[in-house]
Amino acid sequence: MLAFPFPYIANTLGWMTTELGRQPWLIYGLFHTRDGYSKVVSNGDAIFTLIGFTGLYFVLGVLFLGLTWREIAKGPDEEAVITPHKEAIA
Amino acid sequence: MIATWYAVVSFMLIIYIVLDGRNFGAGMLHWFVAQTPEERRQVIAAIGPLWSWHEVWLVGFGGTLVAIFPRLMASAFAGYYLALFLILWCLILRGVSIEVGGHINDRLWQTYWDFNFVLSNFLLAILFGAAAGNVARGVPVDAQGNFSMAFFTDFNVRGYVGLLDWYTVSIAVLAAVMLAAHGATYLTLKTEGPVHDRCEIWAKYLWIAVVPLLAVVLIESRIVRPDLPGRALFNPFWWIGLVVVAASAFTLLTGLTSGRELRAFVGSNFLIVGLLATGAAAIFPVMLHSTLAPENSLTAYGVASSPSTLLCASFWWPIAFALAVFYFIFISRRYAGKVSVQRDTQGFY
Repeated sequence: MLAFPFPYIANTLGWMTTELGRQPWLIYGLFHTRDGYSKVVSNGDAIFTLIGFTGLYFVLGVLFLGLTWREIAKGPDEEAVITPHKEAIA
Repeated sequence: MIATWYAVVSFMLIIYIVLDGRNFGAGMLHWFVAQTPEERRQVIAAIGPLWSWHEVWLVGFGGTLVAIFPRLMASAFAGYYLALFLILWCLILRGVSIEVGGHINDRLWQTYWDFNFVLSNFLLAILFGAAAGNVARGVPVDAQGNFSMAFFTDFNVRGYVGLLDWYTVSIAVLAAVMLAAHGATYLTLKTEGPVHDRCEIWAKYLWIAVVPLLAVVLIESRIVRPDLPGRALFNPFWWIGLVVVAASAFTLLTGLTSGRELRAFVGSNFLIVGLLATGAAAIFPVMLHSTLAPENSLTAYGVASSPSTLLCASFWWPIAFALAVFYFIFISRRYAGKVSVQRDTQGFY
């Protein structure tokens, strides 16, 4: 159970290593980040979408933790019936 | 070469709209055609296993666009910044609604996610419709090939236009009604019992409503872009598109009146393909028309990658395309036929 957070931490840190380690390049050796941003996207737009994304992912994170906690607290089903079903949700 | 790639890129977006359009439609209607939890489950099961792989075509479209027409992508994705984020958030909300709704067996919880699901599907249809309207009308591209737009300005179609004006809003309404009709036709094919009967009625009335809306949009398009069809009259693909529209409208009509569900659904798919293909052929080679000055418009030839990139893409694209088509055929066969709640083991979601 203690190992549960580690894949998430490893995944996130791996991304951070690649993205931060590449700075100041956007494409290593070819293209600087300072040349790559969109000049027509305003600060306000960027802040708005950043807040939107942070909010959305915060809600999703809370949902994920809450629902996972529920499933763990409930435990496995008493009788696990394995039936072939076509209508599995994606 | 570049004309072929233009066709390929348009084709991928059209495939996405047709495939995911039925999910938007079914999602919008699911509050009206399904009244009990079992019926709701039928609708979700009809689209459940399929919607996420339909999005493959949207990702494929984006990938092909960045590889083949990078300068268009740079201009359009910055210019449509807020609209694209709205689409992205709606796509996220729609997916989350299906995934999360079933986890707690509580009516309030499920009704909330159902509401989210209906709303996000409706907004997606509206947003993609408005996007199509923007491509048809043009956007304020400046001499450097950049543009930025507010959601709306003065609701006029010339000069510094906004995302929404009278023309794009009417196309958005047409898109919502047409995709709802498409979704109803799809649900008629996939369900049985009361849901099926209600969908049959919805499909008929929605398709009837499409006719005047389409006529209005065609007249409006003539006013907004008097230069179209112009060159398209000499473009064989435009004529092929028109033939597809005529043939599929006939197929849809006979399918609906005779109660042959598969025929109606095939007609409905090809009608949307035909209309979008006609539109794509009509604007070619301009990919983003400028409402400020015609010479600022971004053409397919002006924004394409270098010949070596195109050659490289000509090698890799067919491989990815073959994989996507193979999976499409596999999963369509796997989930063919009507859904049945009795055979279902997933609970109400």
